[in-house]
Amino acid sequence: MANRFAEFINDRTGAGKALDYFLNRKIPPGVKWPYTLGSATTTAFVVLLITGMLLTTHYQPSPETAYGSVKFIYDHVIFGSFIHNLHFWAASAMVVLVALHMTRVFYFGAYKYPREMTWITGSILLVVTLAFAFSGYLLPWDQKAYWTTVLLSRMAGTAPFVGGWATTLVQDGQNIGAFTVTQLFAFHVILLPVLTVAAIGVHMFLVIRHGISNPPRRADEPYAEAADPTSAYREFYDAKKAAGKPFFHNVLDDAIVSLGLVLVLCALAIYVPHPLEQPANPIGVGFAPRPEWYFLWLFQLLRLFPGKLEPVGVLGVPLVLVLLLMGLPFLDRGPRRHPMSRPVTVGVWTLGGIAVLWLTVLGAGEKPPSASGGALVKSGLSAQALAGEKVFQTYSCTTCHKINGVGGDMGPDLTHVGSRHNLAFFTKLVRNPQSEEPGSPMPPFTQIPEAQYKNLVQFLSELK
Amino acid sequence: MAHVAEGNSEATTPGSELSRRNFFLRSIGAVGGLIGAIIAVPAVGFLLSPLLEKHKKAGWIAVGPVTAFPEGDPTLASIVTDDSAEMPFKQGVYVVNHGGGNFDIFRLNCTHLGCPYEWNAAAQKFFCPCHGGVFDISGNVMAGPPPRPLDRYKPLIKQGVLYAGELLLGGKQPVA
Repeated sequence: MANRFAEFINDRTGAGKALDYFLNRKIPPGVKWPYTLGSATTTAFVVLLITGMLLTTHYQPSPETAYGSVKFIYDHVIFGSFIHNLHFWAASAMVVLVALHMTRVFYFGAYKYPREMTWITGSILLVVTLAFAFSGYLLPWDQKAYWTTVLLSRMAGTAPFVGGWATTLVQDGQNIGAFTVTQLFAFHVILLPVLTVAAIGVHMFLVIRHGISNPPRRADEPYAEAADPTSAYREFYDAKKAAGKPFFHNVLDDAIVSLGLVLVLCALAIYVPHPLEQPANPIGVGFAPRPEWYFLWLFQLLRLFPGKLEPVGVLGVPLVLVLLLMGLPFLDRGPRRHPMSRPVTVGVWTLGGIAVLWLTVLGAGEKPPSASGGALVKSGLSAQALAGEKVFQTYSCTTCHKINGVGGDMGPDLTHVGSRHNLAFFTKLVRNPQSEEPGSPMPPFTQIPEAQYKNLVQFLSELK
Repeated sequence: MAHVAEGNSEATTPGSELSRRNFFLRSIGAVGGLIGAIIAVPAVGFLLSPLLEKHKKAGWIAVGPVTAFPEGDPTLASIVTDDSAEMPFKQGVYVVNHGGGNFDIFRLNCTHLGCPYEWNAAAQKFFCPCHGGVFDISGNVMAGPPPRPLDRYKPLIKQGVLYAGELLLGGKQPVA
């Protein structure tokens, strides 16, 4: 019975033939674990699709109901918190996996002839993945969601000439409001999933059309010396492929890695939950929003482009990065694929990767000054300096200055400022920064009463 | 199109056949394009509507009785903005009573990247917690990255009630 059913399906759809081709196509030797990252990314996407669909059954996109509906899912629906957390972790995992997959393809030189379009569709998938992350961010409508969306839509607003329009379009209005939620919801659950599925389809079609790239070996590179390196590569690759084993040998590797991924995601969803914060309060003050970790490097990059240069950091750098990424197969056209044979490209990519990681770590380690202002953990201060510390907090000095890792970084870190300057210097500077440091962006603090002022400068001089 | 031509090995058939083929391909393209345009025009218009729609004449929105805002002491309040009458939405504002009937109604978003700044009564300054923007009581930039003074709504006092009108970016230029 089951056999006849299978036969019917096979005969009428040709599914068996297609599957046969898919599983039995030859894969060049040496294709091992690093090649499982693409299928792991797809698995993360499928997890997101399923959990996202489930969340959508209960989620209500409006400022009045969004937070409540997510809270309801989290607190009352069976497996609700698990599905919510799983969606969160799978999203983070997908960003990581896309990055790792692209890195693998990069180091193996697999973006070169004839796989340029495979690389470009992959780059599009990276951009779509980040668009997913951005559009999904607002939906829970908690404090972090709301203010980070304000922040990111204003970042779009720094664009020259079209900035105002860009912000209005992202927000669907002059302010973040009801239509911002519905618009981002529509992008997140309809537009982007359709785009992703289509792009994955094209991407996979191209992977099968061109065959899986062979791991590069320097010994293989004589084909690069040929008069026509592309056809020489073709010949070389076809020979490699013919010597390989059918694809089904690799599918088990893919399956094992995907299982591992799903297990890790489940464990994270259970043991490292990501509950809602306080509901979004558009009239709350003193909340310092920070983007999710995968946007931290961008946030941090902003610091390097102050004032008029800001659009360069906010929009210019990411735009140039995306264009460079998409154009990679046309920028690096040499026939050699081994990383050691293309030191410049590999060097630039490696440095860029280190820079992004470094900025992310910097951003993650930063503690914004809390609105209430905790103790600054400085021991061994005199009584007068302790009183001065209170003045330091009262006048919001922490907004711009860091002491022992707490505070902003617009101004200099003051942890050891007392060993650089003396009491007389501080006494003049705080009331009139221009007198001691011409050009300083610090505003004058003239209204601090004399007694408190003495305590404050004493405090500063004791920061050694 | 190129894909179709490549897939068809009959491409070398006599001229009449070729032009017939081209005629069909072009017709299909035209019909498809027409279908696309019929859907695309309203779709694009729909998406761009926040930009294209005539900005409604700024109505005056009540902020509260003048007595609720002590002189020299910026007060947090909220207004229901009229982005659209059907979908009211609360926005935060800082109301500053400068005395003598002079009021400022500041939008509660730093002009840098929109973070909610906060009044510090001791320092007599507005501080933004995100990137260290500092504004004075009149909304002028004192320090940090903000590119322009605070955005504010045009104030109006009528029968003891403060109203917020048109939104002025940086206090000058009205929102286009």
